[in-house]
Amino acid sequence: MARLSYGDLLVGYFIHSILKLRKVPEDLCKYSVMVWLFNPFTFTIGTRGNCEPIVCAMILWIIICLMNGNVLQAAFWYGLVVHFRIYPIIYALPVILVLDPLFFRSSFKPKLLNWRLRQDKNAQSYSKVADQYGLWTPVKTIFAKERIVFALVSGAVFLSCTALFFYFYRWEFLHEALLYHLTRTDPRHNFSIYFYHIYLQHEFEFSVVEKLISFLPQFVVQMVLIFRFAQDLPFCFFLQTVAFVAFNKVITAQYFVWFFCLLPLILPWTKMKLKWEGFICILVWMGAQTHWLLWGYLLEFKGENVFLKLWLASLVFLATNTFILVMIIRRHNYSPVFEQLEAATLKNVVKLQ
Amino acid sequence: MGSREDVRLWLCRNVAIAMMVFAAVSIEVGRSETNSGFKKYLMTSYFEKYENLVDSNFQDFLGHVLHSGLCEVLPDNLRPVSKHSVLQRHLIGEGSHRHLSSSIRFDIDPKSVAQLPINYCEVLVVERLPAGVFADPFELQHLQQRGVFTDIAVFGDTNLELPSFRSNQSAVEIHMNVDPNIFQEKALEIKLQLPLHARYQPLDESGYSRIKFSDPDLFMHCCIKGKLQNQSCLFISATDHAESKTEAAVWRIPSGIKAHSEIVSVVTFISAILSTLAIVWASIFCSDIKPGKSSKQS
Repeated sequence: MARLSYGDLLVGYFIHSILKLRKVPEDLCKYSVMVWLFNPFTFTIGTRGNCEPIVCAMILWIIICLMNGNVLQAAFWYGLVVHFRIYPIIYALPVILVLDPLFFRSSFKPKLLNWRLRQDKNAQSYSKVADQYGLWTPVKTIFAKERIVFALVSGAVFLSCTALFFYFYRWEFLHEALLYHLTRTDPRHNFSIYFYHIYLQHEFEFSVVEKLISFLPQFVVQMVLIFRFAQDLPFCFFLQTVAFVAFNKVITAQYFVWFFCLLPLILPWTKMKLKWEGFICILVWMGAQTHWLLWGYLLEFKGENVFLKLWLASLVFLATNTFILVMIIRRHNYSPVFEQLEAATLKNVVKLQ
Repeated sequence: MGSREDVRLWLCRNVAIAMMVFAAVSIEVGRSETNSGFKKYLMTSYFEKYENLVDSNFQDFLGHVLHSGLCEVLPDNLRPVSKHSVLQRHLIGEGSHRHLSSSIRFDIDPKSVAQLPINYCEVLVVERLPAGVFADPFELQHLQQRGVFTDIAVFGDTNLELPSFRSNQSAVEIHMNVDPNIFQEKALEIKLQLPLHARYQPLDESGYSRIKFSDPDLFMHCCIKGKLQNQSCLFISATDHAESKTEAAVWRIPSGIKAHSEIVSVVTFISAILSTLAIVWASIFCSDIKPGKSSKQS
């Protein structure tokens, strides 16, 4: 238990480091770290004996490695974390996108955008420079060296971990760690909007079309968020995680830790004031959850048939998550993590290629 | 003889258990032990013969056990207990996590007991759970460690997530030590509380399914001092139906209503699509990224 609380503290430390790297003033850093450390959700879940804070710490460490220009190490930890928990697989594409040669060359330490310059001047200059090189450059940079290195190393680490455990535990491991997630049918009640649908349909096999349809919203939202916000990496991770959890087929309270550890990373860039917009968001989110838990309690501990109401509460919870996502997106100062490389450097880079 | 050696080992182990509170893990799920002779758990022998727990198979099995488990050296009519009755059986608590409480009485046959050189006895309760209900082996293991039961094991399906229609019936076997001094008295009364959990039930129009618990199977397992060495004997006492005046315990568990299927599917997908659209709209039109589609170029 204690060890897992150390995980909590480590996450706090990493949050502080990332914000410092992005030149956020000290007092804002402190408040943001406090949002993690004094979050009642995370410390109850963390001290209950859950490994989530360790996974969170690994993800934050990957962000730190990337910000320091250490692609190899980031790739190593990324392969490992996907081996631990499958969900960080959703971060693969934004990481690949952020390793854009326009911003990121492993031969230079990448320049990080200062927090004070958050009023989006950069986004404009970026597009200007990009225009100079026309359409050809982006196509060539798809296969930039850093991207290939990251993909190969993380893939190799993941596969070798899987191979190692497969060697020790054979099919049992593969089944419990990976395949189980593909075939899992857990029709019992949870926050997901799909739970009652799955329960009502579970006596029939789901057709491929049905599976695709239920996966489509998840896929579309992920793609839009990734291609829209990937350059502001922590913000993109946060949105992706909230959306991933909200559209997942199974949602339990421990999944909330996944995005709570990323929340402090975006707070210094939000225009939302705690008074009253932020406060309303928190209240609405907790209200929707409490409302769900009330019906859940009646079903599980009183044995009353409230499946329909519980499912409606799940719908309300999805609506709340959507509302909060939209609020956060609208109030966010979009600010890429890396500063664009100087035009001169960039020219050399293009020539070298 | 190998089997006698095993019996002796088994005895030593159980005596040790009786003497001190132990923390060893002896929960066994499904079929485990393969040694010959008298198994630690009756249900282990059952699952060696049969795949699933089916009532008719279990009756056959009991008939077989009656023959092989009885003492070789003792005449058949010598039994420490003449009959048993289930005095009371009900469910405690509400919702999906409840306790099945039973109180059971064994009538002791003083004549037999006087002739039997009993070393040590334990009561075996086999609770065949109806489909739709399960016992959590880890929870029972904790109870065992706290000394509530001497030994306890779950057999059959223990996957907690499976809905009722996909799971098999399971059984719980409980062992409780009996103080040999109790045989001076007329009757032995035992109270049990078994924590149980509801699975998700098959769909039903009424919205609830009723799960009935039948009476448990009861045995007395004793060690008798023999001429050469101790012998293990299994006794089955007759059920006294006149005394078992209890009604079967019934658990009412909520179940999904089939009539909801269509509306739930349609509304679920519509709301998923609506919130997808809302997020897509906000990301494309409402974020403060300046036009220039900057991040799309990478």
